[in-house]
Amino acid sequence: MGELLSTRPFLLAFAVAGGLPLLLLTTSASSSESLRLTGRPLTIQVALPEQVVAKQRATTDDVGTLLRIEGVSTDPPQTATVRVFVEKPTANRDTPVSDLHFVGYFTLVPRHTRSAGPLDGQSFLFELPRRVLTSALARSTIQVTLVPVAVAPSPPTITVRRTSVELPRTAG
Amino acid sequence: MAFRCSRSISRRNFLFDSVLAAAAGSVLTFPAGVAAQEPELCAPPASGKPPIPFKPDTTLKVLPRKSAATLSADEIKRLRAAYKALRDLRTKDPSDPRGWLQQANIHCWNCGGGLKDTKAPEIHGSWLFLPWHRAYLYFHERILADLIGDPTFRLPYWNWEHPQRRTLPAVYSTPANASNSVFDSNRNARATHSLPAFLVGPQIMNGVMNSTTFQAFGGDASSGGSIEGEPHGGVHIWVGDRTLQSARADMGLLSTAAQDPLFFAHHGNIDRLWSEWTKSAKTHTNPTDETWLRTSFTFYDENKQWRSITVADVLNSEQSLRYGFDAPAGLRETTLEARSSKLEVAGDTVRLPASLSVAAKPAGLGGSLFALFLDGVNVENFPTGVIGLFDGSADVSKPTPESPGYLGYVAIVPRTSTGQAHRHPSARVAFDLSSHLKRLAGRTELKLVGVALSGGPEARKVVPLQVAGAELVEVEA
Repeated sequence: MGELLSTRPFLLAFAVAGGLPLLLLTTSASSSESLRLTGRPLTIQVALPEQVVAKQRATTDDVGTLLRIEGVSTDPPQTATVRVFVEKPTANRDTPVSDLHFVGYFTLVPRHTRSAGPLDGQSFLFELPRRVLTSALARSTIQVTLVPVAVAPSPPTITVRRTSVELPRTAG
Repeated sequence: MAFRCSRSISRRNFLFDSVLAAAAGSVLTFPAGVAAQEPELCAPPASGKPPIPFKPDTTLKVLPRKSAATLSADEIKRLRAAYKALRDLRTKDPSDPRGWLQQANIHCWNCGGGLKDTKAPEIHGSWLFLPWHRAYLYFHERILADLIGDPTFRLPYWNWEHPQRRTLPAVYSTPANASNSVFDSNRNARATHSLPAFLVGPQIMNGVMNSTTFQAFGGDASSGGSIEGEPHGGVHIWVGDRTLQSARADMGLLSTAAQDPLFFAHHGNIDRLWSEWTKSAKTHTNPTDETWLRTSFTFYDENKQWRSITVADVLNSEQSLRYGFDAPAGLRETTLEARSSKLEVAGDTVRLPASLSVAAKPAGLGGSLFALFLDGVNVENFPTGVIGLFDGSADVSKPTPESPGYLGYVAIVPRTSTGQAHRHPSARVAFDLSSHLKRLAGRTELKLVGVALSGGPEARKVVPLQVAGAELVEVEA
């Protein structure tokens, strides 16, 4: 007799705003390359470290695996709101935040409108639930799709320096 | 007291002070569209002395900070009196570190400084975000309390995660003029506007508040956590520009954000959510890293004394900072309308209600969540692995989780090695139908197709399944 596991707990969710249609542009890049987002969704492949794969395979629980998106900046300084989907390369602005593959969003709140800000940009962490990792374990990579929302008529170019996956710190 | 650097005086600030000085409480409106000027320099006044280490003031009662929506008339009066005194102090003595612009510039300085500052610290984008803002609000609160001679004064918070609290708290938005010392004319968001659920709704807050580690919730030495990057930033940007398309002072820029009194109610809520997160599970613990615990920040206190305070000093807000919160279970205040209906099933097919077609509109704000619950899923001859469930009307010849008809998966984990058929009369699995509404519109039934997804594309095959019962739950946004 086996144990049936739900796709996910029942989450209270909402559909997100529709709005201006966006062309889907899917680009692959290694996790260490700098990426540029120009208002359209962008999908990248990010390697799953061996220890992450091993830990996920050793348990049926969520282990708090983290996606780290580093060095996010715009030039000139501008605000940005970007949704993050994992294993959902078709995600676009109409994909709701209730989607099983949505793992969170990040915002850029600039210091100023005129200065460049930190050269290395801002960095963000996202916890990856087991449900978005299961199908990716065999190939040891995940697809991360970044979807800019509320895009201005002349959207800023968003640069992402590095994207990686890691296990959480064990203590503290 | 000497300045370490000069300050710029913005046109907006000048107008505000002039209006206050001239009007003395009478109702005058701000000129529309007065642009805020970003600070050139925002370093704090030099103290000339080493900071005095913080010690809890145990003579203060531990009192709750309250939701701004539930303040009494007297509490509103005291809040406005305190901020008026803060603004007046800036006019009387711009070098007083307790004054309004000096207080706002503390945040500017600690987020990289003004346009011409070169050596300012940065407390955003890391695990310093939560403790620094807690300390900042504490000293700000003590200054406001001192200015009105009321040690029981506590800052209110704006609990925007509550579905009925997504508009600006009335005390901050009405009246929308200079008679209201906690109003800020630079806000793009006004009294009738409501924060969108995709920034602060349950879908977002469930993820944030269920972060399993502080690292995911509050960040680490080099990256910000979910509370900072998601609702914190989302609310900042939205107050400055409701379209989220541009960075606008005050709240939408870190260098000017604290010039809006709403900033302190917003961060009061961030602080409350941190407190909630640590209380919500035994595993939700703060870091024990000594580097973090010993990190020290400096502020002027209500007596204009230069003080230092460490991260360790602020972790227990009740014991050391003398405040708690009125609603210890703020997130549990959330009440959402939910309707459920049992659906007829026959083998692998579920009959769909007509209401699903009515709901099949373009995704938008205020939409509902539709969840399909399946009971008693019976899977034959499939001892272990992952079965993807697909809408049978879609093409399942190349089934992947990216296929349009993909609903979700169930994982079969064996309890014995005998490979018996898998019947689960009591197990219940849930699938989100919200993103499938357009495709299901007009349909009367949903035929479920199970496909083995384990073991790569070559191993994929249809797995016969049966379902004993089904229920559709609609949750109103």
